[in-house]
Amino acid sequence: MQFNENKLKLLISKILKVKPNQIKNNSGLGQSSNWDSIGHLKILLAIEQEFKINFGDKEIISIINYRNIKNLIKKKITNK
Amino acid sequence: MSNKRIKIFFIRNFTIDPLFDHIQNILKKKYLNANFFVSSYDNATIEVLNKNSEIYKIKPDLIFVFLNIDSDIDFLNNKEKSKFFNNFYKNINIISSNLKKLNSKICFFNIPNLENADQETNIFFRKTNELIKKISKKNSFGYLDLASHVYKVGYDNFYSYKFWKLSMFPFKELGIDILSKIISKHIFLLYGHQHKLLILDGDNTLWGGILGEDGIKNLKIGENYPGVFYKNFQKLLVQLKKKGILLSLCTKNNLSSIQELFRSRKKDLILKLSDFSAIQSNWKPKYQNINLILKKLNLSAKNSIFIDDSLFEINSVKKIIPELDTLLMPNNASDFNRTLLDFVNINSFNLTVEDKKRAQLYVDEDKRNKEKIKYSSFTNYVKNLKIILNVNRNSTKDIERLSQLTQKTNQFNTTTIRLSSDQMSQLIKNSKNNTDVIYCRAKDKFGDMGIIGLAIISICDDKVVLKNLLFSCRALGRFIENAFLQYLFKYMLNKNIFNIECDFILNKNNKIAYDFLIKNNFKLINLKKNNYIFKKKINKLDLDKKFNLIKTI
Repeated sequence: MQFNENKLKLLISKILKVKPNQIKNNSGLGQSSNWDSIGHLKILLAIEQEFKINFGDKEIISIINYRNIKNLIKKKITNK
Repeated sequence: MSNKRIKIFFIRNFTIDPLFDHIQNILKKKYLNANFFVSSYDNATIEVLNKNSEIYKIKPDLIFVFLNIDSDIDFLNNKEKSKFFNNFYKNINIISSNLKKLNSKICFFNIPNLENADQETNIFFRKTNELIKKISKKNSFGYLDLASHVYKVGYDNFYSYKFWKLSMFPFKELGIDILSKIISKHIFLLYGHQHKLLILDGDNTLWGGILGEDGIKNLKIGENYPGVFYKNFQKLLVQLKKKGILLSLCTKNNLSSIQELFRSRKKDLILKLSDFSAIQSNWKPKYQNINLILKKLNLSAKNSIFIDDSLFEINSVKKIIPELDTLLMPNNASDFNRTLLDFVNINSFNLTVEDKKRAQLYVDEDKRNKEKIKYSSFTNYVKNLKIILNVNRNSTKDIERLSQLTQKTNQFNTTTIRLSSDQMSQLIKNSKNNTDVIYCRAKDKFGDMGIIGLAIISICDDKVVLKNLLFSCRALGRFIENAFLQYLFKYMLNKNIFNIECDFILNKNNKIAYDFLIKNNFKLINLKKNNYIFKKKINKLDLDKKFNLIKTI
């Protein structure tokens, strides 16, 4: 499976109810009113489902912004 | 369906919010919208006790009590477990006894046992669920059997230990999917999307193979593989019928072939032709036959499911009757039962005798309608039905049905105040305090219609106040409602009471009750928007002999 950044942006923007271009690298947990703890949980759940990956116990607490999330998904998909 | 937003409140002790988008998406398919509200995680009981808390301000339409127990409970010693659970039972009791005072529909979830927990823990879980079930039944709360759904797919597939410890969110993707469906199903049930009728195809649905091509003796149905799947599907249909769902047959076959099939394969078939409340077996387009079935049974398409194995038939019916639910049967008959059970919306809790014999009621009604044509005068027709009205007062033996009547009757219902069986029971017990619960059962030569009418009255000095008057639609239009009103008049005159008032809350459905009171010379006083009082002075002239053709006992 190829990593598709548009797909990730679209997924997150849908959950947070913002436009995809509003998602920046440093967007993340606590950085905007939409991206709160519930929003973050929804994003993690949706990513596991959509990209068919499983975040490890340590990984899941290390991904707190878009950049972290994107890099981790890329890594996990390449290592599959 | 209206565009009303349903206010749904969750009493919860865990993160539940990620479910809401999923539920909303399902609700939208039936044009329902919801706003979701939640209690705090750890103070739900205190919030319920505090009459100034959000739940009392919001006045939700529907409240789900959805509690979760941390799997770490298994690590506690027995004394600690006992303390925890006793506290938990107390909380459930406090929550239920306070919530029932609200005018909301309430629904409890049971709690699945932990996987691999020790025996002691499982006993506590069992007791918890027994308590939840008992409370739900007693108060006519909904009861969602989460445990059976979890056992079906496996605890590990349903629950996520990782997300539970990370965010107090206990579910995996499959759990989210199943929960969203069962919660939406329950909402649909409450908002009139209860399925009452299954319209069934024959070939490759009720039996394997095509009657016209394979011949009767080659059809797959019986004890052998794969016929056993069709036989079990028929067993499921019989079970659903017992729960009050009507069955009808809509098949592209000659009626004579179908009759021959049910005769000659009687031993293999579970269903009998008489199990179907309507049969359309011909070569006309299915949508025409479905419309005839709906008309005959006086049911709406939105409360019915058309079940067929052909995508062509499903699509062409859906095009003409879009509000009809359709279910395409899967390729493998081994999946039939699960497919139907997942799809059908039925309320299997608190079934009354009337629910169980609904199919028979429709058969009787069909006979009445046929009889009607024979008479040129309506009065003669009613006279010939030999209706007997059996009136009861303050009896506790029919509480479930009386509560159900208040909950299900929308048209002939003066206030549409819904009462749980517990509230009904309280009313009857308080009957000495000048409140009377009077109800009637009607029978005629074709059958027993069951309990169809209810009046809740209070007697204040020189007048009777009708707090609520309601009649099941299936009994209307045969003077039964008039005979019941006559009974009430006689009852008052015997007590030397001559004034009657009726509280009335007008809504878009109950105009029929409004017209009935006007027709019976009640005078209307408008209090405020949609709230009325109907008043009438009665005397012996109001006792109309015309209605004596209905024998009241």
